Amino acid sequence: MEQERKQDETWVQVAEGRWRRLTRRDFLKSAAAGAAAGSLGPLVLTERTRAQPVTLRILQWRHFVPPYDEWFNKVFAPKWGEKNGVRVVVENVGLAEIPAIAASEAARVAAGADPGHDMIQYLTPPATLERQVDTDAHREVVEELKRKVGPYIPLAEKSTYNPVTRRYFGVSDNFVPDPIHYRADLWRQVSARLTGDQRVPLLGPITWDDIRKAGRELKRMGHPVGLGLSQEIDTGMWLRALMYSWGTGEQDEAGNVILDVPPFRQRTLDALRFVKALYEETMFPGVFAWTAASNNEEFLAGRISIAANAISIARTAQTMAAAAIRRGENPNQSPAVQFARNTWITERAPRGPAGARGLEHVMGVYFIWRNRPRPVREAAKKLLIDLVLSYDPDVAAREGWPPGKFHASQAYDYPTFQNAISKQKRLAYLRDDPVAKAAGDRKDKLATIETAYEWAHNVGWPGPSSAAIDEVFNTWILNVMFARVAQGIDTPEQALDAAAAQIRRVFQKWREQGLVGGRR
Amino acid sequence: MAVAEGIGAALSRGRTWLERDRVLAPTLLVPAVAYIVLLVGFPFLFALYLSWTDATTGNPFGRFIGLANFALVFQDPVASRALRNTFVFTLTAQVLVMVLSNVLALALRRPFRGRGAVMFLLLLPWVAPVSLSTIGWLWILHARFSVLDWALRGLGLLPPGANMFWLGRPDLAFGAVVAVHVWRMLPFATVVLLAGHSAIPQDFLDQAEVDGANLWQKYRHVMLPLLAPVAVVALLFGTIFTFTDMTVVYVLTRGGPFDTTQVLASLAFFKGIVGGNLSVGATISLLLFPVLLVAAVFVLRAARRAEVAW
Repeated sequence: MEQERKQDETWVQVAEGRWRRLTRRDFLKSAAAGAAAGSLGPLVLTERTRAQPVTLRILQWRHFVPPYDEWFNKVFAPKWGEKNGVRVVVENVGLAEIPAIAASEAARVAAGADPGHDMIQYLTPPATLERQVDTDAHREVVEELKRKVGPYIPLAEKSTYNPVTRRYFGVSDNFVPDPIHYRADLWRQVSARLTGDQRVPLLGPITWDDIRKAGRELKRMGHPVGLGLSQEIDTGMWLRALMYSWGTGEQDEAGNVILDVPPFRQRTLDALRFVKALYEETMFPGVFAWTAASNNEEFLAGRISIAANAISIARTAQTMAAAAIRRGENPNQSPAVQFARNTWITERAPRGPAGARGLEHVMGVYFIWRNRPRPVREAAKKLLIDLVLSYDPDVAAREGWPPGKFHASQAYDYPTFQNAISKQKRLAYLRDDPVAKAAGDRKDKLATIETAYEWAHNVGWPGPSSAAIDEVFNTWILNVMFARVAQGIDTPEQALDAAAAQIRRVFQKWREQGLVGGRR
Repeated sequence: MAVAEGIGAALSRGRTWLERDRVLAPTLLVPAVAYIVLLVGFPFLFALYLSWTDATTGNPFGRFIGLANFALVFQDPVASRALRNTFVFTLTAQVLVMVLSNVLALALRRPFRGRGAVMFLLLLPWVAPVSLSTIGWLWILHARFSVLDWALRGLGLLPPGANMFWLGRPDLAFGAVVAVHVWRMLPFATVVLLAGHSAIPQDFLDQAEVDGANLWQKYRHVMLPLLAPVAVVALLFGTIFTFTDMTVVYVLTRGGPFDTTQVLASLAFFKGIVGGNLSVGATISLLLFPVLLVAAVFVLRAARRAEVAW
């Protein structure tokens, strides 16, 4: 009966962003009333019932790679809109502004009002918003894309699917790998100097121990290691990568808090002791004032020798080198070009006692609000599917929106539907990287980023990126735990117990909401 | 003609009606009351409601859970630290603001060449958007490229290449947050005290001078008692602004290093909006309320005394 009623309904756009659901009977009644209303009727009803093109309003971040926004806003969105009869309105805001906007829009959705945007791209898994998003639409998109291009990688599944409610709270179109950047020239000098059990590989760090050993020398040379220990996103990422590589984490697969439970307790304590030693031997007090921009600022200023970041450091160095070449500098003498050439990324995440585990740097996740009218919902779904398909440059060219998502983002956005662009095509781009070539840099330098599929994990691994994990991440509980030990304010045991107690309270709250699994 | 006269008479009647105290007073008050109800009263009541529920950003109405959020907040060591920091930042900043604004107001009492330019510069921190000016401070206190460090190195007070790491050390970060609050609130307090100074009858000061009072005695026994009512208003307004501000901490330190500069307003934002735990965020923000209520009562009393005094 309900299904019949739904089928009988039609959505009528009464103004931009405002839609009304009418049954056929309502529609006919309105039309009849309009006819009877004489001269005023057409003014009101014709306006209301005339078919208007669907408007799809998207909020997303101002991409780190500006040409991506150029492509999305000026090529993909308008051409896709033209082809599908949809007016696409894109609003780009700073990454940090998105949570507050999404929170206020969620309240409007809960109150049954127009949220202001139909679809938002979050840069972290938005698990806390699950109740206000269209989980069915997300599932449909994921299933359709799995049918079309193949598997959705586990990192994305764990970042968008809630195993407790069995719902998709978003659709991830990309993840950004988070490799270690290092100064190859300085590393080579240190590698040549260290011998015996202090030896480190010539071609960059492979283990966390390598970073510690070489870091001591690098600090003596005036180029310390730069890994943040403050209340910001990059700190949260590398510390989790280290914990996961030590075989511990916030939770197990079922969502039980484990960091202080044997045998994980000992591993967490070991990780805390390692970070304290790493700080004391290789870093400097500035890491406690780290911001999301510090990696780039400190590395590109030539101050630090090692940082964890998306490929943005390497890309910025290349952009500066390309600008120097355009100014007429000789590539073999230009400091900017030399600097770009000496900015390398590790092949994999650094290995700890339990493995080489890294994280995503940011996780692109789109979600559609749950109260969007059917035409808008369908348009949003179609756009997401076409956006993922547009990773493939041939598909993008055929559809009329070249060069496609992978190329437009300069390999910054890595596909979560791994075959949306084949490995062969990804490597073809990365082995003949146009950005590197323009910078006079080695043209295949970033090709190793491809290994991220093997080592990049979600926040909260081995469990899902749940609402509790999101709150723990954004209230910096682990960052503070490590920082207090590194500063010698707390012993590892004190810091661990305090953090675990806070994390348990957070998990309990979200368990009571029915969004998080586990029992302890 | 008759129509015009009729309209004129109606307008005149309307004006007379409007000028009645019973009509005019409420008419003038309505916008302010509506503003307070809509932008202060409603959010406050909603925060109160949220604090009794388990609301989250994804479920903004929640279900009733009694005082559980308050219990949670009182168990949380970060919330206790934020509460303590909020008081310490506010008190320290306001003591400094009152001392410095008195000094400035005394210096600016009398006309001198360039006084207008000094006043303009003095007012800049007050008129500049707080987020922009705090970002300016973020660069001034940058871990590596701090202009303060550069100056200290230039003066030989820091070794070459060394940095203070202003925002990376708890004591220095504390000082930095207080300094930015003082910098922001100083113009307001100075302008209020200057207005107070201009209202002190010159006869009183002349009389004190004839009696042989020196500058300190004149200040202590004549100016200060007369300035007290307006100074209290400046102090209370400054207290409320500093107590409720989250921008300075959010932009400068994000509560760090390791939560040592976290204040209630910033913690409420991190928990409630960024962390999605709306009800706990609302509960933390409500901890500000008792202090603000007391401050508001004192402001009103002080304002009334100031009216009586003048």
